[in-house]
Amino acid sequence: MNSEKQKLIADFASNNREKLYRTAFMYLGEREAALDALSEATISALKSADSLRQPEYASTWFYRILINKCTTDLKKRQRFKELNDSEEEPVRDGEKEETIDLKQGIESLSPEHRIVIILRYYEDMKISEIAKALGANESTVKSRISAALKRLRLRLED
Amino acid sequence: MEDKLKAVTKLYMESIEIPNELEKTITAAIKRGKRETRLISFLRPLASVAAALLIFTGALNISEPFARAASSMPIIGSIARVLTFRLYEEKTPSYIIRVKTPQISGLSDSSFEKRVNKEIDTRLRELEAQIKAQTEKDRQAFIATGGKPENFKPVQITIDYELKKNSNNELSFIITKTASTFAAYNETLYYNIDLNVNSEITLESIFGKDYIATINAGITKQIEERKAKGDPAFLSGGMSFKTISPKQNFYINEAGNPVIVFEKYAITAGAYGPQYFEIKR
Repeated sequence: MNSEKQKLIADFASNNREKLYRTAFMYLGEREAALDALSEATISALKSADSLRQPEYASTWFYRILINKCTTDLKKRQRFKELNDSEEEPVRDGEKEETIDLKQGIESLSPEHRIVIILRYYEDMKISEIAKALGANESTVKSRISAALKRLRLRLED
Repeated sequence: MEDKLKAVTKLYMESIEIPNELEKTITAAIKRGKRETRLISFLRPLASVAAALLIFTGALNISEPFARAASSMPIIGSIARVLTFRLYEEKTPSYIIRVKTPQISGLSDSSFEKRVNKEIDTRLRELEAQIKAQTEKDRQAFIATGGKPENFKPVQITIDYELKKNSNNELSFIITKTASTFAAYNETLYYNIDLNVNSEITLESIFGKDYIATINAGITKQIEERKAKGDPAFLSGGMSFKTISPKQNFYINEAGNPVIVFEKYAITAGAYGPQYFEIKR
């Protein structure tokens, strides 16, 4: 029935698995959680292949499903995290100071801000595509990006 | 800044290690997603059958003559029989009720038949109204004590009947009311009818004047036997059997013998449920 759309989705997930995994990991910060989220997103995407109206948007459509899974999972875990104060991650040796600063800068962003930066600068998505992937409108995306950039700059200029 | 950001996010993202099982995970998820879609499309026709059944139930609910027509099949081939009179399902936030009520038919004394049917109908309508009102009270209490309305689980209520004996001489059936929440809401009504004389069968009419003593002796003997066999319901102290009451519940089994029923808690701890004693004639 939807075998064509399903094939498109399966191929997308399979070909972009590393990027997708990294996005999930970036969001959730844990290997197992990221694998689970990606796995669940893939299953839901295939099951709801019907709702993919425009195949050319398969990428943003899939990201949206993945990000939704991650957000739900994050909310669950944040409640848990509040009970278990997390430890600071130690800085690894051998990384350039500036890189460490920027990495820490990105890591210090809220998940909402981090995802727009990743989609914009790593996935190279247009504002309109990010809006679709997040299910938000374009002006929200724009203001989120600029807020995230402001925070990053402040951090870098310290 | 733009280029630097691109470079850094790339660096940042690529510093995230790819687990070895990523490929396997994705392949498995793709398989599962495809298989579950097939399952859904396979189940879809079944869902429409279920919907049709619901509509059918709805139709029964709307029209009682229709319900009577749909269910007037004899249970056993004798003339007197038990038929389903009302059959309906109703769902509200407080309860989900499924009702199947009986009527008797084909008795040689039609005025007696009418009287019994009227009694059953009046009694059951009362019970239905009572328990519906009770569950609504329970729901209000749940909300009043801080429960969210959407978290109240509707009480499942079933009213049903069961034919125990239908011969040329006797008709015995029980009507049960069960609720998913409190056992206290459960109730059973017993109907035993002598078809020859068109009257209710009593324990006295079976065992004679000394029926209480006769039955008590029979029950005591059976309790002793069960104790000897190690039946836990009768081993521990506490509640014990003393005597049946003149209004003791019973039905008549296939063999034609009365079966004395003690509701849950009556003579044993509640956990052991109701107790049954067949007393041979």
